[in-house]
Amino acid sequence: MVDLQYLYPELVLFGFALISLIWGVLSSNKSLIASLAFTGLICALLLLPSTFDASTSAFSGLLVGDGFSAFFRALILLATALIIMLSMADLDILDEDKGEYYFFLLSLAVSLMLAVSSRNLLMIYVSVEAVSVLSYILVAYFKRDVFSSEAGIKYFLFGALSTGVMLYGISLLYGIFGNLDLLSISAAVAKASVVSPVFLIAIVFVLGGMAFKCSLVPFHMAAPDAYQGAPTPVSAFLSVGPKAMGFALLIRFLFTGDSPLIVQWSCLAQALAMITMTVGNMIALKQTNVKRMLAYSSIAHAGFMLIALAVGTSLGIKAILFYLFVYVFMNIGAFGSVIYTNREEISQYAGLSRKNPYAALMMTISLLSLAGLPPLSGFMAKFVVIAAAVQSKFYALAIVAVLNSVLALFYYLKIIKMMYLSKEDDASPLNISSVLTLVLTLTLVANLFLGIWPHGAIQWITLP
Amino acid sequence: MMNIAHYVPLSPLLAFVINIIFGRKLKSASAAVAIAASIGSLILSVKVYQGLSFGYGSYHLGQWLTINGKALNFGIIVDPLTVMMLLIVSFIGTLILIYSTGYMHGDIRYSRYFAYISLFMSSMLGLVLSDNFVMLLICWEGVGLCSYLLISFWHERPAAVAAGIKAFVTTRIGDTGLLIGMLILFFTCGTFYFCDLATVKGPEPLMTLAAILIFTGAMGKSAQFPLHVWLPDAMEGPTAVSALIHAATMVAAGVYLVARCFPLFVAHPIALETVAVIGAISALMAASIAVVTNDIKRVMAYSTISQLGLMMLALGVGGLSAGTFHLMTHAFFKALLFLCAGSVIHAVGTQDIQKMGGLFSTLKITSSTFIVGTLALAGIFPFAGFWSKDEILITAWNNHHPIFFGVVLLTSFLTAFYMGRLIFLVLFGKSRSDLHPHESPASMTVPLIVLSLFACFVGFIGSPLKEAGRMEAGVETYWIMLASSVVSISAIFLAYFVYLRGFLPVSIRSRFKGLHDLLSHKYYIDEFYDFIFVKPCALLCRMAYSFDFHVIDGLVNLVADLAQSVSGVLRKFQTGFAQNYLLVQALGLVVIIIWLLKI
Repeated sequence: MVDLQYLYPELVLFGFALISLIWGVLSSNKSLIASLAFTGLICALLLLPSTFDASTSAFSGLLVGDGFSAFFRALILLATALIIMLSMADLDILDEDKGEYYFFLLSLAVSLMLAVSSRNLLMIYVSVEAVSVLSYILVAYFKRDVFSSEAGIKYFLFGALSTGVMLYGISLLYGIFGNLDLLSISAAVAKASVVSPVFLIAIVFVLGGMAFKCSLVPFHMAAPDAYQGAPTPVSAFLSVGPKAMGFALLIRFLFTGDSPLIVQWSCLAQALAMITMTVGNMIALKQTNVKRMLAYSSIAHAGFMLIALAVGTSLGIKAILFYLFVYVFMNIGAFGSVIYTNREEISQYAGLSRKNPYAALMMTISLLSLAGLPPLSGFMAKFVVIAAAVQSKFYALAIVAVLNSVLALFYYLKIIKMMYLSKEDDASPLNISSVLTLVLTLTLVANLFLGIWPHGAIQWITLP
Repeated sequence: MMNIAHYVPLSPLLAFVINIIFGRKLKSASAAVAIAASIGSLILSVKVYQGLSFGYGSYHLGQWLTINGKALNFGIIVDPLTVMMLLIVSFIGTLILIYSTGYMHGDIRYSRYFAYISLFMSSMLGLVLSDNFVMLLICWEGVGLCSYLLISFWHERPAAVAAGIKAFVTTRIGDTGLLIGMLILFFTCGTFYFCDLATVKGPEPLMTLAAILIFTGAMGKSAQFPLHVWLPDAMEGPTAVSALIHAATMVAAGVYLVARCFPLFVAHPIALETVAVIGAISALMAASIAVVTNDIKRVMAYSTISQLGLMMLALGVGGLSAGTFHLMTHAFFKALLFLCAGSVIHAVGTQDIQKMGGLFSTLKITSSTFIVGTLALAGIFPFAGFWSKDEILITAWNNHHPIFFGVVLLTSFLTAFYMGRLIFLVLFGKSRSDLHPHESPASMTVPLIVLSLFACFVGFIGSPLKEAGRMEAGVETYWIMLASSVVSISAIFLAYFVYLRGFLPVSIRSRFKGLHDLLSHKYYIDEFYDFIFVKPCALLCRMAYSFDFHVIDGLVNLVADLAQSVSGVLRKFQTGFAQNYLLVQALGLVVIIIWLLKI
């Protein structure tokens, strides 16, 4: 029973997921389902603090209740709450059958929460697989839409390959160490004097699976197609939720134990960080579709966070967590603005500032925050990452990061220029909804607040 | 002490946000928003003042940053000096907002004007509440920005735009000094807090340098020689703005800064001496220029520089209480005088005093209040200026500074003379051109009457910093009162004979022609700056521009083109075919493994 208490938020959330599924079948009043799902999230969020106890581990070590998992569980609940609000306003989702949609979304949240609170590779694998399957379904949620289905299939193919590779790596690790608990594996690695090639391959395979979830280069290929084809709220969620999970798993995997793996693997992380940032930003430059551009931008941001991982200090980890936290607001702000403006092509944004100054302002603030301009939160996030790199004397990484920020500014500003300076006028109607206005205002406030006063949030982040 | 002081700047800030976002829809209601917010600040300030009797000090609202391992808090200071400034800013601000409803009536950017004024008030209130240099600097730049925006408020006029830029650049020179000064202080003594200034110890002459650099910031803001050139030009802005920002409050921020850092200056006599000398030069120079100036607002501007110089001088001879006392009285009568000038300009449509004359008969209210303001500025018993000027004189005398004592007397002679000239040329005599003046609306005259009451009586309150060591005016100092009165009254009489009776023979006039030219060209300081700084700067700018245009931009474009073409190549990999994607992913994995195994 004590173990079960740890799972209360997940259980409640899953209960609400089931209710919304059944409600969708039985009742004709479908508008209530979103509110139901939202209520479930709030309940889970309220239950979360009671499960936080740094010393607990439940189900014979399968789940751990440290501050690290509490942070990520809260982050995922927060992101899901914002996404549900976005989904309420999305026109395309309104047309579809909603009961399943919220069921999938809540189940995805539950799987993510389980994944981030585990230290056992088996548990991690099962949760990751659940996350993957649910993501495929959500990406392909518009059954009648060709692009959505295509995106779903592609995402599935890549997910299958990645999780397959990861499972193979896990089985190799089990073969070498006879154990799946990360603490014991790390202790065993510390004792072993020679690193065998099999061990190396096993680690690379496991990391590859996680890197896919973070959409790091070269595991990024499916992400842009998936983001573009998926319903916009789902794209927003994929860029935030699974990415947060990916980083949580990477940190767990590389930082557990007294002699963490990161010491040997920092080199690989540095290389991937540089390549990911550069490739993501470079390709983003030429995009004409906003969602696709945001997909590449999210790849670049993942590269940026990887810098802090490669640094491997406690400040580095704090920097990643703060970055992810901030990223939730700025990216959901950007995707929310896409839904609000009801425009997917960059050229459609021409003259938006005259048509609807509010929408243009919200988009601008989110994009500037993503670009990392002060006093917005994105600047603070990048600042902490670069500070962590400089503190540990990773100057090359810091320089590449700064250069990439300049590069990124270009494609973000392109949209802002379109909205404010273009003389043309696009007549497509906007999707003005009060829920969306609320979400956008919330993200705006968070963007400003975390940028001006980051101290509180950084202090609140506790380390694993 | 009640910890409510930090709410004081928030209410005008809210008014700014409302007016800047909804201004176009609110139209004339924007004035009501701004006035309501300002009254809110005033009420809160009064509450803070009442709380003062329970003791004072600073409190903080939470940590903001950590710099070099030292915490920087959102700190608020509440003491008599701050509360005096709070009351002045919110009270005069309220009156000026009311006045502006009449003065700005029908302007196309009506709501924008009130938004800027609210932002200014918020920054100014924040400035005097900050308990550390960093927050002060932020608000300091905030008031500077508002000053710039409001000077060039009518940006259709090239002169207004030029004046805005001049003000911004000139004060920026001082601000740089302030920034360097406070950083020296931080790196040698490790503190940004004002309350630590009394105890800081640091190596000489670095600390003296820091104090002088901080004073440079004050020189820029308070338009002291040699950074005074922006203030006369700043008169291009709306007159109500000149009254609030360029007479009563913002320009006094420099004096406030020196008063706030007073312990630092006292500990370093050379810095204190600098303050006094700069103050004396500014006071005399500006007063002498005012004697020959014909633009009514510019007379006021030079008078402001001169009076600010007197405040600096007072601080420089060790008179903290005298300086701040004069700051307080000056805020009231100078705001009054500016508003009167605005009312006169509103009535006659010109700023040239040679074209005015005999306005007393038509502008009864404006003229009476104008005369009250003049008497207060000239320092005639028992008006406000008399008391504060007297205190400056007593301080200078008691602290054994006979030269500065003489400077103050001479300045008050000149002050009384140019104010007398202004009054006699504008209000009395015969009209010198074909004008049809009309009295201003009640929204403008009521603030005049209120302010003139203050100009009469505020001197009786005495310095707000009595505890800080006010000189007891014993019998032996009565001669000082007498002397200053004699000087001022004789100057007014002289002005009466010269300008109203035409009692100046042509022969004497021609003899002073050289002096007159020197004064009316403002000692050629603008021309000097133009030749020494502006021209070479402009040349440098043109060179830098062509370098930037051809070399830097060329490089940037090259890089951008390069990035675009790389982007095009990389994009080709994203074919949309799942097979290719999988190939990239698998190959990537293989490359990583090969790379790692080789290491």
